[in-house]
Amino acid sequence: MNLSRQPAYWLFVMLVFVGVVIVGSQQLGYVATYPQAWFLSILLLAAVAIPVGLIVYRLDQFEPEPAALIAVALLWGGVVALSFAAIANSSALTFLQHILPSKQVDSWGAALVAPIDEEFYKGAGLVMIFLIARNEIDGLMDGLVYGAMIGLGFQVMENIQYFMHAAAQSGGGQLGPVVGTFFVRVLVAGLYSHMLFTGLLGFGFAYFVTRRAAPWGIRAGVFALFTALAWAAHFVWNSPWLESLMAGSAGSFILALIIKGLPFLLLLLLLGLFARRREAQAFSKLMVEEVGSDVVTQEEFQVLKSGRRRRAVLRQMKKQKGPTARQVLKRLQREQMNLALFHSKVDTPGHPAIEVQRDKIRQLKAQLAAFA
Amino acid sequence: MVAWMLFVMALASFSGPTAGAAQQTPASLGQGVTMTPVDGWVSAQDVWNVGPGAVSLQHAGVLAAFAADSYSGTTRQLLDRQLGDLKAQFGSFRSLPPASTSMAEGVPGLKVLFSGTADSGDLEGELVVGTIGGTGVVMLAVAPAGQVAQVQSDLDAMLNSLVVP
Repeated sequence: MNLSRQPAYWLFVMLVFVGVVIVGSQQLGYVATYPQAWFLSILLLAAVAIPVGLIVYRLDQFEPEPAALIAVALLWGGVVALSFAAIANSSALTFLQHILPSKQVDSWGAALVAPIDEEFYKGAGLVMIFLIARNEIDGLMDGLVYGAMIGLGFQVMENIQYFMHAAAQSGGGQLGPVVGTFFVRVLVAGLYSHMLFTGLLGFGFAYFVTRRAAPWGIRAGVFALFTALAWAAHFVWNSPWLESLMAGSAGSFILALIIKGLPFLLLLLLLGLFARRREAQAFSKLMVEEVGSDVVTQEEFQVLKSGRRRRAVLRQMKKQKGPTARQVLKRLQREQMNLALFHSKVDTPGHPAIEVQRDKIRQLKAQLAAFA
Repeated sequence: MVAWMLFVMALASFSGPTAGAAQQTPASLGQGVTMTPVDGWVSAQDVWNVGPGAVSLQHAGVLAAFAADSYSGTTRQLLDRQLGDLKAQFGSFRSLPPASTSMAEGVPGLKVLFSGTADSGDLEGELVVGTIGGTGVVMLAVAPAGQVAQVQSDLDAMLNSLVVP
């Protein structure tokens, strides 16, 4: 995929450059002042963010998003959105100080300002990805994945700020406060954060741009609804509600987190399941002409439809015929699934590109047969 | 994107008494001590009346007060006294161990960062104290959780702008 052909890509590059100057200088300051705490922060966050990122990436099992666009989403969240939102948040809080009593700003400032600014800038990332590669957002799951990835990038970089602030608070860049903050912000509360908020936003955005058959008003309404949901989830999370519960024992603290975050998380999980089912239905529809042929047998199709079955078959292959055979089978599965993509892009089943793909699959099948 | 940022910046600039250059002039604290507010910080006297010998400022959701008075104890004693007063105003209060810092271009001091729950919500803040020649200087900044870090460089600059005669 050549992203550089799109003018929007160059706008993205320019904005990343601005963001890198802002975030990069901040990070260099952290490394110079508290090197050990900074490296520990990176290690801890990588240990969680990499597997979480992979899980989100794998949500879209029928059409994994291009790595380049996933990188765009992560960079947008962690560099561009974070930089712009920090500036806008400070200005908006200054504005609130002029119009609200000080106590109200202390209580509600973060809840009023952060959802509007941060969801706006993270949402702009979805628009940017759409402008760079609009063909890649062709299902609800795509919006959810890109939204969650933008949120993940934002969350990781924001957490570094929190960790380094905790290290600075200790007076000498000590490691204990970094681990403590990691426990609370990532292990305890990490699920109810930016990935969740922007995942909701991404779902609504994908509905708006992909459901072209639906009336414009409904598409706009659904997008507005999910924007409001993302904002509401962020607002509730930042609000001072249940603070007396949060200030109590560890049990009541966790109870407060569950009350504030779990309903929205469950909603996102339901949306994920819904989007996944839609993708599976679309996959079955696109493969209808192939199933039962020498390219995709009925048994293979049943395996392809389920991530669990695909992994089970791969394990079995490795056990019976070794890791190389497993690799070939994995490629075969991927190419068979890509066949559905080809069908979605061209109108005629006899299109030369589809024939080429079928031949590729036949060759992989022959390679696999050689292992017997 | 940029337009939204400019919009909120404009709101912040035009909605209140920014007073620009006027705020850049040194403000007098007690004992002849002065401090110079950083650009963007405006008086918070109407929301936080800190009395004579002190000045309160606000910016980006953060309230900061600077005060100076005669004090004959040690820096540590001054810190403990201030922390005791602070704790009384919070429902729950957590503070990290004090760390050495400096103010007024070289005057040694102690810094404590704290967080807690008060009537107005989940707050965090920074308390810096120093003593020199019978004068005690205190800086207290309070903000919604997560906001102090955003203005840390401003606070450091204002602490360094202190002039103790």
